[in-house]
Amino acid sequence: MFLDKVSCQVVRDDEQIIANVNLTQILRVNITNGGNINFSFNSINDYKNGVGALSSATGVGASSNNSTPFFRTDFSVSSSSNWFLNFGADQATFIGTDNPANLLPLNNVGFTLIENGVYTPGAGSNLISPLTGDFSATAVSALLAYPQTLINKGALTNAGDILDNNFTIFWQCGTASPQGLATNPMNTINIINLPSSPAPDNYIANIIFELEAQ
Amino acid sequence: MNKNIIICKFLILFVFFNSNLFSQFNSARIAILSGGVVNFNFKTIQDYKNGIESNNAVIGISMSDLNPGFPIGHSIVDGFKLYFSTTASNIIGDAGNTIPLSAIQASASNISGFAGATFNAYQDLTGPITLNSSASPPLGNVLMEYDDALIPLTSGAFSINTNANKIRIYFQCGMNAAPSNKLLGSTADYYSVPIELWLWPQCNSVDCP
Repeated sequence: MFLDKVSCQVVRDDEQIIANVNLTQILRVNITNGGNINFSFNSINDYKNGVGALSSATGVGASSNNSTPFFRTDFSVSSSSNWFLNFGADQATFIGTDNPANLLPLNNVGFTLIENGVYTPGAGSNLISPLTGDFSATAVSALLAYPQTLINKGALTNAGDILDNNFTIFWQCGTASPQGLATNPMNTINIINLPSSPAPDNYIANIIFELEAQ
Repeated sequence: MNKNIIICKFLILFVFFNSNLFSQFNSARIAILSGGVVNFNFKTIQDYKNGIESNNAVIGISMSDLNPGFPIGHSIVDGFKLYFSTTASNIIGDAGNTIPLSAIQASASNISGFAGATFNAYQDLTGPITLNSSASPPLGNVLMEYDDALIPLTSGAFSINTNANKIRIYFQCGMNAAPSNKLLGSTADYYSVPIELWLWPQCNSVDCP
């Protein structure tokens, strides 16, 4: 009885500390270059071959000096949580500014999407693009009306900073490029062969980027 | 008959005497001197990528062996271990989201009085433990261990006090090397978890029974 009693009565102590973890939502998309893309069709070859950047190294359109930097949009995403990016034109067609009755279908503009960040298409890639099919210069998608999911989360988290999530869109117009793995092909007919024969005008559309947490 | 009654009274007195004498053969006390609430505010992506460390928690420890010269029925207290654990299974947010316990780690360092102690590297928060009166040491990782080298020599009586014996506790959140413990990608929420610091006496360099 004596031993049992004593063996249970070692005195110890405990104290409690409360740990609070406040995770603030961080969600930013930043277009760093190429907020205004102009396709100028100034020659018959432009109408026949199109204008724009077929890839980071290959441009098309003599009137644009064959320079791809004119046709690229660089943007980055900084997010503390998983995210997806919607984008698209704010209207169903391009509308002429000289004559609003002049219309040009959106699918005459195509784009490819390239990953430049730590989250690369190879090992460690964790992003997929349902719209373009993959992140390559061969997957040419048509521009569509908003909203279209441009980038979505893959198997792993895509939360990260601008070094992780860094992208470039290369734009092209009237090139009739093959779609590759993209789900929505751009128009396979060059501008000069369009049955509607668009009237000369300055056609514009605003393109919306919307970043959402998931 | 009277003889039996006398014997019974003697036995009862003996039991009470011994019980009172040995029922608490040591004292032990943790005092949180600062940092009773630790806040980790993740406000930038770099916070999420690198994690946050807090070092403002300071505790004082007092402990003594009340009967060092009369170790009958118990071992001699000669030090202690400081355990680190929680009663929770996860770190839970206000909206019900969870992050793993191991997202929080802790280590300890000497401020005063523990120059000879063993301080372990950062330990993961583990749980859940059950708070009860068990004689067994709590589950959890050990932040530090102190063993007085002079005990059980006759010249030494284990006794330390809060004023002279202080420890700084370092807490980390989201700094664990394991990817699953990084908070990048976690749902925004206000998470909270109670952290238990257990002071457990050591008898002859092992957990006291």
